[in-house]
Amino acid sequence: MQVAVDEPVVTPTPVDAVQDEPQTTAACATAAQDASLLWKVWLSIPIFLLILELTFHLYFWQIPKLTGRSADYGYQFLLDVHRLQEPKPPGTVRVVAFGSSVTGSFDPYQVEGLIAAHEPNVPLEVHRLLLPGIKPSDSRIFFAAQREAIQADVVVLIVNLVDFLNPSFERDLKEQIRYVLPPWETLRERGAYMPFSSKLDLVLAGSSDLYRYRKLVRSSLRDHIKLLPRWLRGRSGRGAYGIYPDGYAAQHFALPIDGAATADLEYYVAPEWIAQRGQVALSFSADGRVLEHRNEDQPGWKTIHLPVTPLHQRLLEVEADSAWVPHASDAGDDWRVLSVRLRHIPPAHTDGRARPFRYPPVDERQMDTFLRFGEPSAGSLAARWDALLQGDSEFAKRFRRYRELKVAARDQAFPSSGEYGEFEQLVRELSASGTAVVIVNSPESPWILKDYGESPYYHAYRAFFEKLARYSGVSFHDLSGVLPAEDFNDWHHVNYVGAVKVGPSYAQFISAAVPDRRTTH
Amino acid sequence: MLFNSLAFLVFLPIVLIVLGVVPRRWRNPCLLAAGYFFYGCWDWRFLGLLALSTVIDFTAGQLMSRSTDPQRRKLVLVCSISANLVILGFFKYFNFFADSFVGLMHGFGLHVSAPMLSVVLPVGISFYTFQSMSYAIDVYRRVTPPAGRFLDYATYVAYFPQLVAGPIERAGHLLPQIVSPARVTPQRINIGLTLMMLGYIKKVLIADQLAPQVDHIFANAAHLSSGVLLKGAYLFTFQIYCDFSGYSDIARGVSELLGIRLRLNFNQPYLSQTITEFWRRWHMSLSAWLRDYLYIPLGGNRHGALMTYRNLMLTMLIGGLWHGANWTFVVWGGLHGSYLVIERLLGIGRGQPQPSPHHVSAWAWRMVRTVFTFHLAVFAWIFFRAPDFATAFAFISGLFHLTHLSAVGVVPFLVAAAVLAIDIPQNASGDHAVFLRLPWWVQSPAYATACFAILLWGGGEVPFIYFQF
Repeated sequence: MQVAVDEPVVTPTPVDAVQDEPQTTAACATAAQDASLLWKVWLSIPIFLLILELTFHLYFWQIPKLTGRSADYGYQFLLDVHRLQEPKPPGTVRVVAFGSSVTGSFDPYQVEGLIAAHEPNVPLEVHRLLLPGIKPSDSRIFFAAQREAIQADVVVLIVNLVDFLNPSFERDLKEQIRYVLPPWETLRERGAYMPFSSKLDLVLAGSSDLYRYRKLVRSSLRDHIKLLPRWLRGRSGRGAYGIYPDGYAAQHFALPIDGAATADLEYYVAPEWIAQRGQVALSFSADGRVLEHRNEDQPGWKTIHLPVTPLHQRLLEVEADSAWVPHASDAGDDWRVLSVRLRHIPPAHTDGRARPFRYPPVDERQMDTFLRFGEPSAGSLAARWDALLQGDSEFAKRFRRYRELKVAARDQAFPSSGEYGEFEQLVRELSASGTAVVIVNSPESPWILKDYGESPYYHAYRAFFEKLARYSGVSFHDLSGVLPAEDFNDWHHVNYVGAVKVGPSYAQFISAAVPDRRTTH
Repeated sequence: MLFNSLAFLVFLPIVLIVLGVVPRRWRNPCLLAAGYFFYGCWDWRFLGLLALSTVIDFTAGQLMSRSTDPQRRKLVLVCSISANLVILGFFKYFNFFADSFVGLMHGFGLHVSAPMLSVVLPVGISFYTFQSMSYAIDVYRRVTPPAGRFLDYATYVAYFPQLVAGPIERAGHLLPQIVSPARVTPQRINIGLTLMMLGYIKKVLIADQLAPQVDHIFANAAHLSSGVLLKGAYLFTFQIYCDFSGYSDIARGVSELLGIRLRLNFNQPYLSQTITEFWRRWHMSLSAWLRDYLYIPLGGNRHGALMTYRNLMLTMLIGGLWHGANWTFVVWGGLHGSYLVIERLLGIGRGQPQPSPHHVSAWAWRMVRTVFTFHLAVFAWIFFRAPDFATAFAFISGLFHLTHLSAVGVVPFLVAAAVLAIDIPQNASGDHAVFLRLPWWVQSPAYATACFAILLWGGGEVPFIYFQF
């Protein structure tokens, strides 16, 4: 505010346009030069964007995704869909497991391996398309547009009660769903329920791949820029460097110790964490017994020798007294930014003492294997979740709503329309196209089932699928009660150990569906 | 409607085409309709408020222009200002004052309750109310003639490029251009597009990218080390500058395409050597408004040093409150008022003191002053950004623990470099469209790359910070 100016007279002078705006004059000599500049400078922008648009499919899908399968779900989903659009080998049976985050209980590599071991003569490939938050009505839009392109012979639809409790047609789709779904089909199906800006967004996405996939391009660019310094330092960036604990910036995580008598380990204390919190207190334990406490106030790799008897459970637990804030260090919000990273001491030829690589291009199969280590004690998990959910954080608020939604289902009348109607239609459309359909009710934790498992709504929910399977000639399997609490990451999602346990069931369901399909065709 | 929304990218070309093809007499009705549509996209229910404010001040202007009786003219002005302040007070400050009153009574041990309104703050109400009020005051002072036609005046108030976040225009500057807009020449288009490009770069590629980090640092202020807090303070300093000056640049650029030149609102404020100079460069249209309609009427600096300090503090406190109904804004204004008073006490800012040639070079001395002034502004921004005093004090307390200062990292310096890359050429040349002087083969790829980056990083439609004011 120009309040410190000594005004010479009491009456202010009129605001003069020229006085106020002396500076916005370009040094353009003539009108002709201006006109020439206008075309040369500004016309290049649409030309440049048009070239990027027309050549998009020639370059973008060749760029590797540097993050793991469990990071950047939308990118991974679209990348998987793109790969499925490649022609499949003749005679190969393609299985696609599809669903929301609960589809994490389906490990395609394990399932493929199990089926191949059982039926070595059947050329088979198993894929998973996982998109957190996707609802049956969204799935129907996806399959309506992509069913033929992805060439699935068997579709495993993994369902969960929560997927059906959302409104069928929201005023707007969640952003993480909207940009992933086929734009024109989404606009046709949902346009009436969307605000103008979302319709416009879909029209643009349908008209331009560059626009439609811009989040992927952005993500890829960002990851490659962050990778650049490592390449410049001459590191390949290849090779696994350790174990990824579950959840980002986790305070409590675990490492498998394979029943060894001792564990020589290294853990990495992220500099961001020390910078933010000053120090970290770590507690190493196995089988409920604390093996060692450490206080760290310096970042970097630390070595630790732990006496672990073979009797211990196969997970070594590490608990930190706090976590750090990824966003405060511009580290995004995915799992790559962990407080403390733990690994077996690597051979000398690997990373050595270097900071863990943020974007480990670990083999995809390893990634799935390593990513989901849960906690060994169901009691401690339940207690921790209860404590977490009673907090005042955004996470707690979100999850409270989520839990309440689920628990509230007990008292609702079972609707056969809405998302259930959408699901029914999806199954019919898939079946009509000759695709074998396997419906699986995903594993649920015991403490969730205790809340609503015996409610009339849940009985009706299961009965709906049984009836649908009967009338549509598809199969339905209920895995809701097969896993104990310790096989869950949180109160709802299965951890890797749980996924390994239910893998044979999935393999069995699919094996049963594949011959059905053969007889159909 | 936001400048960084897809809807605006459709809206603007339509407006430009329509204004380009309609006969001249239809230009202002179309511009007015565009302004109301632009505002109504946010919430059509508040269009009535905009219209009411317009009618009040236009009527006041007409009544004052027709009267020669000073008492009657003053009465009309008082009525007009009162009506505007009642509207502003009701929608923006009612709950604030009610809550503060209850808090004060509790402080005295009296337990009272006050009604709280559940009303939405109409976007940009502070901007268009101030603009509309300035017209009535200028007509009263006979600084500007009254608008001849209601249509022109309504178009002036609802001129969409600056309707919701300024610059706060004066009738003497904008109204004649509304009545007789200049021809849109290639030069104007070049300038307009350049300003828009710079604005989008600042908003989408800088301010919006900093927002998540700033939000998280302020949300966790009590638990973070000094280095991270310092980083948060720096980043917010750049975020708010890029957000608001980016908006102003886009507004000015769009307006150039319409043949209307808006006043400068930001003139590289972080290159200021004193806080006095800072306020000549930051949100210049509000500064000028407060100077002309508050500070000078209060007496300015005409009644001795003490009264000058009082007037400075009052102006800055009210300027702080203008930003939002929260005491943290008042403290922010008070801090700046204190800076200004101290500068006056020390004689800084009134004449540029000469550096001593025996100690540091003139350049280094300017640098020191600039860096010091910048840090004074950074400190004050903590109160501006913090949602409450607890957060602000936790932030400041953590900041002065001086732990892990290295955690400030390189990001603030990279952002500063990006901002300076725009500001220094503009400052050195005195030309905000200085980049037009670059060869076309430099501009062309640079703008194309920037456009591509905006396409990738935009789309979140992050609201402009100043919309809430």
